[in-house]
Amino acid sequence: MAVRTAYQVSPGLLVHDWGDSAAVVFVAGMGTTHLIDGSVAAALAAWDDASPDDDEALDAALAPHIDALVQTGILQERPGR
Amino acid sequence: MTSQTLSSLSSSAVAQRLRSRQGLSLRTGPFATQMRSPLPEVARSVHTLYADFPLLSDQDFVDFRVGVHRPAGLRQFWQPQVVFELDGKAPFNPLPGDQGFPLLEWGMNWCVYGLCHQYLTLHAAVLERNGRALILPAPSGSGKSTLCAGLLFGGWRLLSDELTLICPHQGDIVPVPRPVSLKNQSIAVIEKLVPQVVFGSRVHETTKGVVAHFQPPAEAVRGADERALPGWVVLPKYVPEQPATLTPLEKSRAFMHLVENAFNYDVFGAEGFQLLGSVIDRCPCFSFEYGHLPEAVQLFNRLADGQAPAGTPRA
Repeated sequence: MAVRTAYQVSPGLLVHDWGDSAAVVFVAGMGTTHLIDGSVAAALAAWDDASPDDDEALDAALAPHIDALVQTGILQERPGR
Repeated sequence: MTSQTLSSLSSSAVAQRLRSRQGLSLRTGPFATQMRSPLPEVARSVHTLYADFPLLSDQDFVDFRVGVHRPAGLRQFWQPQVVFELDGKAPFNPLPGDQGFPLLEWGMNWCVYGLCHQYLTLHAAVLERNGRALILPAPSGSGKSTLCAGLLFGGWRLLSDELTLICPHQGDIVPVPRPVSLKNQSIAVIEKLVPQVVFGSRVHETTKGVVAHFQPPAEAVRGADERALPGWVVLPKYVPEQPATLTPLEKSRAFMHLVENAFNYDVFGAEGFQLLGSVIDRCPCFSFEYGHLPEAVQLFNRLADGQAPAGTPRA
């Protein structure tokens, strides 16, 4: 899958991912910018790309990554679509 | 605006204008600045280092009204100081009395990065060659200004030695060429490399050590309206005796360096995130170590001419 360099996972979560070992994320609610692991960015992109029919499976796949972002304080809460 | 440059005035006329109520107004890139100072050493440096800058009339609009003078009080007789003013207010503590011109320059920088949020401003030197801008973000002491000075005498056009102004609408770099600041050993390095360079006074015992400014090339001042698209992002570091080495840098990490070196990224919010993302999109990114300036300049010239050093991606 081609790397998507810029996308919006939810209204409050923007990502730049150039296919590196890391990506950058902007959390609009807090106005903060963070370096995140590239695998997390890939999961976020897959979630953003998916059709609503796939939500359940993708949510399950993404959940650990989102949880990690919440636990490290990058996100205050799980984003919605 | 008149078509005159400051060089059309004699040194005594410059000193007289700086002492006057109307001050001396110059265009510096996209900004118009009115300067006032009664200090002879400030007048000498302004006359020398701003010689090629367009002179404005007293009727022209100015963005900043700045001044450097000695504060009143007994102290002026036994340990004189200088104070910077913007619109008659002093935003900083006074400095020792011989630091008038550096204080004026630092204050003018502050006016841009502290007040001009029409641009996203990085603490970075920026130069142009073949229409593309080389952005050098780095903290003080990294060798950024020395590298910038070497490049501008090696075929690159100076856009700024301190402030990279990114237009949020076009995503291009807005030049703001001004006198170039060097510190400590860098002064002798550039004097040796470019004997014809015109320096102002050396000022000792500043917080940065010995500081001297030199006159920017006239073509850089004349080209202040010619913007450039971001071309490269390079994080420089001077390491004594180190061969010049460009090492590819992951874009995500280069992005974070731009954020860390931005003065007003927070002001822009999501727009700033997208804007810096567009800069990084356009630019191959590198970290760079060097120990010999001429070798560094040669390497960047090869990079700009499309002859990327081995192991580096082509632009």
